[in-house]
Amino acid sequence: MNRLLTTVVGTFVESWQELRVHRGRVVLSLVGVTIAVASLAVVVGFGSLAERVTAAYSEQYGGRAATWTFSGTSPASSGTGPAAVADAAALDRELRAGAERYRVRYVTEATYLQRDVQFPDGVASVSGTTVDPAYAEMHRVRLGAGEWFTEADRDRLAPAIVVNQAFLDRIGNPDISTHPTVRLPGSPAVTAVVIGSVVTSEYDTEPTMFQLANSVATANATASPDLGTQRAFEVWVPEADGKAVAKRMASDAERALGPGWTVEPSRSDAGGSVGGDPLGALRWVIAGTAVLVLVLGGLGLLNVSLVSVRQRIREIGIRRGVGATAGRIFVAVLLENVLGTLVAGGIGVMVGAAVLGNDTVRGLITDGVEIGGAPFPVEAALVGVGSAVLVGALAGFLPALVAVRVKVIDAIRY
Amino acid sequence: MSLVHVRGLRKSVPLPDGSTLEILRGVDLDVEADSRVAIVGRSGSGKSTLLNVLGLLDTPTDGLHEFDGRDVGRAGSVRRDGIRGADVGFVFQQFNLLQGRTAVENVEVPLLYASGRAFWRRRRAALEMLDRVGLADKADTQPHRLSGGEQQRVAIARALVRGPRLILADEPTGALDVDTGRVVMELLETVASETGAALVTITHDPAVAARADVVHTIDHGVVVDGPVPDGGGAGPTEDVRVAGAGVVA
Repeated sequence: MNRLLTTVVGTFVESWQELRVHRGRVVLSLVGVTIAVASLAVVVGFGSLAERVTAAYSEQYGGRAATWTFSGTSPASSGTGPAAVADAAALDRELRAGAERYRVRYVTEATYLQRDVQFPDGVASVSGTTVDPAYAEMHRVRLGAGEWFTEADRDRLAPAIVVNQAFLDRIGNPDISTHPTVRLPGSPAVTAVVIGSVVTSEYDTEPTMFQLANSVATANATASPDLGTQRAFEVWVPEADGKAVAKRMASDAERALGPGWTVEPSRSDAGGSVGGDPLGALRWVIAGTAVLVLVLGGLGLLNVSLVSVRQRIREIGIRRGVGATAGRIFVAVLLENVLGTLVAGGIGVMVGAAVLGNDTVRGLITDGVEIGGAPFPVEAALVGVGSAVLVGALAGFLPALVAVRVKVIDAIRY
Repeated sequence: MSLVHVRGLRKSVPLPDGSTLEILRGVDLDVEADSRVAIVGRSGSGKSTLLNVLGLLDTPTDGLHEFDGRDVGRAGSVRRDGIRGADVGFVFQQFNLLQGRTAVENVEVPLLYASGRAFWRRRRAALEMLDRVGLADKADTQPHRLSGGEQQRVAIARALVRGPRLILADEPTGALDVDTGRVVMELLETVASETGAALVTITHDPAVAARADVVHTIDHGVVVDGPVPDGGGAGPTEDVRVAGAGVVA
């Protein structure tokens, strides 16, 4: 045990001394690796951020895994008359009943809406979504200011709306806590209270809004003949048995609604896309680029290591002369490369983190989308350091082999 | 029992033209513990090859090589490395100090391959050994800032720091002036004597050889009793075992 410990410590001491003594050469040889690792960290980090952005977009619009969307058609559902309105309400009722039956906690309406809004500079048509309070959790809605809907908001006579920053800008960017209002012309015209604003891409320049489903004000709005009655509902269920639950809810609703009805469930989150992983192609491109960058860095290191080990043949001979075994020399040379690349990897990751942490660079990658999580992806750091060590071991193997094959006599006289 | 016991030792190497060069052609030699042995001979006679074989740096082609009663001629590489590290110290003509390391770091190097107390206390042991060779004040000096004599003293300290039982010196004064060479030899003998190690010195210098208890002459790959014959023609046709001391004047 003691022998093993002294061997391990001794080998580390030896390798560290080598690095210290030959620091000039080491630094030069590791510049390539540092750049490679920094590039790798940036590439992996870029990929990770891009994935998060894509996921954020995807969740924002399609919901989290697994979100199932229901659409129902009845003989009257495409119209705008009282029959169509009654059908839409019936579908709403049956789906909510189904969700309760199957203990689905997250259910929301997600119906596209288009309403005129009276802005200070004139009336404009604004698109939006009619939702339930659960929508925020299901779509990871991030609030910039104010609050999201609660059940109590359904009873408001002046409807509550949640808007985006572009909407707020159009009404003069008021403080939400002052309960700003906007007039929604139409029949009947109502005055809505802005209760919150959501965070979206900063490049999202068109005003959008959310309104609460099944509220007094919405009932008035849907009664308006110029609004469609096509309604969509979403449930958020576990991935494993979500499909079965969604299909049962649909068939239950069809049975309850009567003949002529078709209720179709379809998965709307990114995970439900055809072809499985929607980011698979992006991952492959990133991995390919990273491997290429690393191979180039590794080849540079291998070159320098091979040349340097030949220059150190005399030194290796002297070490063998004072008792170093061939195995010890092999490990020491290998370890020099690994220790060196470990340090280079650490520096490379820091450089990568500095690049990705830069606001301008980050803004270009995220396209203005707010994403949570660590400022520098942990996996990029791990991949950077891990691959640096791997490259060190691989690039150190050949020089270590050369060092072991040195004939002690020839080496000392070298 | 001799510390080193060699009988019929042969060493040959293949040449590019397919023939074989016989460097050692049947050497018989005994080195007693705590003895001073000098090996003299002309360039190319096989002195250094013999020293390398005795120091387990090289393997014999044939013959018996025992170290402290153990057959080391046919021992495996790891065992030979272990014995060399623990029991053999080398002093080279060109000092062979590791550049970029201070004097004390150079002396420490053999202890990196030791275990237990010797490993953990290597800095203290190296400083003590430097003190014994009179270089305590140069412990942190780089080799290129030391004189030739000082460098050789560092090399001696390095050779002795693990307390070897056999010290092999290959032309230890070859790169030094006469006075410095004498001082270095006195130091080598004194420290070897204090540690009870046998000292085998290869030299061209009659003055250095004269300091030994026993002088062997090697010629054309065999040890001959007495001085090298003039003319350097064909060497002895049969192996000669040296039992006594042939002092070269």
